[in-house]
Amino acid sequence: MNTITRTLAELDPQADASTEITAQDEDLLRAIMATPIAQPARKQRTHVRRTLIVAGAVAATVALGLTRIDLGGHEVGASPAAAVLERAADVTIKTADPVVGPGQYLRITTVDEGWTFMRYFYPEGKAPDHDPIPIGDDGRPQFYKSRSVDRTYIPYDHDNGTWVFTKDSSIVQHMSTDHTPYAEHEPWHEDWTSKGGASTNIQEYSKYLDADWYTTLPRDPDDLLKELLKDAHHYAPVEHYVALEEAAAPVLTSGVAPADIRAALFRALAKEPKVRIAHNAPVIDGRQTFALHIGYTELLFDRDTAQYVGRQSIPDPADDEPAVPGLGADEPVWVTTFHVDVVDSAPGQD
Amino acid sequence: MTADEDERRRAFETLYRITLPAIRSYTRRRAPDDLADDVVAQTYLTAWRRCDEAVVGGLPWLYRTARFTLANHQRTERRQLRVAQRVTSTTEIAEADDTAAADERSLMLDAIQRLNNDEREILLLVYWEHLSVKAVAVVLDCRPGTAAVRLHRARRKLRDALSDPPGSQRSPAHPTTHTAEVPS
Repeated sequence: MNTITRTLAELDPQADASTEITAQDEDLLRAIMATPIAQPARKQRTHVRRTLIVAGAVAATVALGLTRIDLGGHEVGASPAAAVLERAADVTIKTADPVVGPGQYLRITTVDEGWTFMRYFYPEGKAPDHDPIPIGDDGRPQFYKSRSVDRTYIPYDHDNGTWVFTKDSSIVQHMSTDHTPYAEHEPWHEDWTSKGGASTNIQEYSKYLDADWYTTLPRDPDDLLKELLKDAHHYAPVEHYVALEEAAAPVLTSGVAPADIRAALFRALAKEPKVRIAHNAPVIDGRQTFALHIGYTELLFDRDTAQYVGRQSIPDPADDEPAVPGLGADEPVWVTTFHVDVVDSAPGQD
Repeated sequence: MTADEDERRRAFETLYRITLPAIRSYTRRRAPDDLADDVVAQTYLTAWRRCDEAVVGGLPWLYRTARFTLANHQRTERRQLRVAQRVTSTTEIAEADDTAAADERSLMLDAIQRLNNDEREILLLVYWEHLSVKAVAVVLDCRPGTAAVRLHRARRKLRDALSDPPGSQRSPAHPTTHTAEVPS
């Protein structure tokens, strides 16, 4: 035990606290359990809200215009966004999704790579106008580029089989030569399993990974979106356009949603006037993409198959986010690539 | 009562009995006993209402809920309660004990008080609540990698503060670590 550990342990005012459950504690338990519950507790909501908060905090992308995409003569709807989304719905239905056979796994791979710097959470009312960027001894800002790879292996028998999750992260580049020696924690690796059921990286159930949940959803575009929007407003009503992201993005990006659901959702979004197609769609893994701008995020889909391939964040000068030195105005500060395939085995599962 | 309801009640009872001492200690380290007990009750009431999440999330979920509940109390009641003040209450012990260990404790108290709230919180979650980095990430609602980096920074800053107590003529070992000091 080192000095810090020992001294802090000695200073713990609760070091000798009783672990006994008293009669008073039992009274509290009974009182709590006598409290009626208005409705059954919902499963897993936190990661969606977190996604929105993170996206809002980054708030890095704004659609800059309308895309020039070859629509193949398909003219639907009044706006280019509507036409692109209707075409996406068409090709979604025609595209074969990966099929998992007995003994195989659906592997979902998400790779995040981008520039960031240390931020602090501030007490309410104490946040400065701009996050200070630590400066190294060499005078350069201490931005660093991190890369994380998440893999989810979903077994053929997704209800009873063993799900496997792996996560690897590392810092691949430092802007300043003066930086924290991350060797203690980098590269980071963790893996875990879940017996049956859909799980997330904090081991909470995620309905978006649950194939059974998708079977319960309506296939009519309007009804589907209406149903998904109920989730978006579960905690508190939010602005419709923002709610659209929370309702649609987790489904379109899950890697598990069946084609008819994704197609219906594309058609529903085609009717939303604020949904836009951003012009700066990159080539990802050799696939030409179109960028769907919705809420605070920009989702990238393969132009030929309408399959989700990733997302990116391009800094917007209006956001007052610290600029990453050396990064061009149209260069993304963060890129996520997404890939789904079928494999014959999962780590640790022989 | 249906089988599902019965199962749910049993799961909650188990969760409560296993985790109560830890959550109670967590709140009492950060607030006077009466407020701490209110926070405990509210935390488990929330857990009861969101039983499925709470049972799956376990102790980290409860810490996170207690943390939010405590923060709400402190905001609404405008109480200036900080961990540092709770720690300070133990200062008398250190000062009354004229030994090298007492000196270490006194230095540590001072060093902890020089950390900002977020740095102090992450250190205490690890050293007092004995949480893993993964669990800390759940409590603080961030990625494990982010929690690990923050913990590393907080440890380094604590070591710097210990090696450079107030009144010392030495320069900080890592001057740049202080550039992002959060006002408290």
